Amino acid sequence: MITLAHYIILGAILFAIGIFGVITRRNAIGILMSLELIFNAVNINMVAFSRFLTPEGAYGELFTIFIITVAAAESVLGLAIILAIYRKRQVLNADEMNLMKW
Amino acid sequence: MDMTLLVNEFLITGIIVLLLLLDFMIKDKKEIIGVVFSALMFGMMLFVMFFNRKGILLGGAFVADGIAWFSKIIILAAAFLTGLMSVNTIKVSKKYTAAYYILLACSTLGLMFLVSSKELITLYVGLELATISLYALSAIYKNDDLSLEAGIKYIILGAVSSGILLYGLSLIYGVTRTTYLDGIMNYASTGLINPVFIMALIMTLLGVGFKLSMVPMHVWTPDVYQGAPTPVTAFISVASKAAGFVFALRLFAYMFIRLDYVWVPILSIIAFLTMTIGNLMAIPQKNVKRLLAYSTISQAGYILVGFVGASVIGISSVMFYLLAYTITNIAAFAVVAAFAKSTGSEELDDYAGLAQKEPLLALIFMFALLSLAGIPPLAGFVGKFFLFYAAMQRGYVWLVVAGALNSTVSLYYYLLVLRQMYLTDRKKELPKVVMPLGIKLTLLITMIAIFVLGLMPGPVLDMTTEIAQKLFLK
Repeated sequence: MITLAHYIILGAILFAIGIFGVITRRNAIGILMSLELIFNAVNINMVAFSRFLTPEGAYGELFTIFIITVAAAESVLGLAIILAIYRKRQVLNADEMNLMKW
Repeated sequence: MDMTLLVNEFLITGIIVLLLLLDFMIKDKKEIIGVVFSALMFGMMLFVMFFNRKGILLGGAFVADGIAWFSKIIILAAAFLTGLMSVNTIKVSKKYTAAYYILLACSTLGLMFLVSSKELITLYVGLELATISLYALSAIYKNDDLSLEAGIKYIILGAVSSGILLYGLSLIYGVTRTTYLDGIMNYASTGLINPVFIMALIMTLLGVGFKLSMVPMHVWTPDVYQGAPTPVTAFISVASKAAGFVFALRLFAYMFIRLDYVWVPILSIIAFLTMTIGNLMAIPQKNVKRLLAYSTISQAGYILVGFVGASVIGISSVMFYLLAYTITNIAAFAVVAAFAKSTGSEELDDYAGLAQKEPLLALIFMFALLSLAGIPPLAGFVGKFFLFYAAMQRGYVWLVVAGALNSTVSLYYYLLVLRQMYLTDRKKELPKVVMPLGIKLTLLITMIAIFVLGLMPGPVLDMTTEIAQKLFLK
């Protein structure tokens, strides 16, 4: 029997992996992918809460649809900026994007 | 349902469509779009000021109350002044001029939704509409390395913080089983608080802290402020921050008001760190925009002091300070934009001897910086006075003392700038600073506002006090 706790633990693990990825990835595209993991962790949480706790309303599902849309917009913009930087400076690693410090 | 409450947002949407159409119709003189944008934003500001209807819409998800009304005026004023400042100073190609103003209008729309919403989904969508437009705006100089770098840093750190915020919101939803702030407040008032809820509260605080450039989440601020086009920096530093503070007010002074024993100690320490780190980091800066960025971090710290006294006087002083801070910061950034437009430099050393060459510009910059430092009789002084007074009433004397000491530190680096302008001789020859009409108007309006707010703060303070009282009546 799969209970609410299973989903929440899955969400928490996914969130932790996402945060770990954002911190450790050097490649900017890898960072964007880790960000998607964070958003998906939230989505799992939302849908699970909605299914188990408020089956009469669909607030969680509604929230998830908005999160997916916004995350897509964010990745598109992020990729566009990464592409522009790559064309200009041939740099893809986040730690080389360091023209400004302190 | 009274749909007329949404009229401001509908009108802004109409303005966005109108700007798109203008982009098709105007072929050569793209500056006209900027002028139209500024004029329409000014019109909207007057409209919001006089069309002051209160009410609740969509089952409590959208609310038009005093705080929303006041902050919409601040946001529209910031959009108007930013537009005015941009007309002659932005260097985007003809193809993208309209896009610049449309993104600015989209961001304004998102911020207006953000300050009006009392439901988590609406809040989130408003927040993201505003920030995604700002991500694009800060990277709009796509041939400028610094602008692109500002864009990528802003988007990655912004997305991480909104991920943390969302995780916090999902936990809040799981614990309280509702996404309406009123329902969450009912839960938080019962006194049966579980640890998950406290964790959610802290994650939400961290997520909101990004917008406010609160200290653990402030690392993006200097880089984005330096790299982004100067008018965009001005807009991020005032409008987006003002909306962030209104969001924080709704969360902490309204929704979690009964949990103040949890967040007031945390927030007071964060306020202290934000002020101190912002001020200390500003001292060695050589780039004026970077210096102003650290100064805005410390300003956010002062505003958080007002939160600590989450009382009527605290909220009213936060609202007042947001207004004073908005006009002052826009004045400072307008000077930087005018200087950079003519000389192509943002370095502090190049400001040497400005007072001999451009006495008026130097004088205006001096007034703006002194107002940020909180010198009477300028607007910043009154605002800071009431912020500290509010914290004093709640017994946070150590925080007030720290705030006063910090003001002294900030005065030191503002005076460094003044020394460059007034007492140092110019080392190299720079072109004369030409002030286009847009910049002149921006500076004129902000200067009048700084002195009016500083000398006669009474009417505005009465207004903010009334707004704050109404928030607590319910």
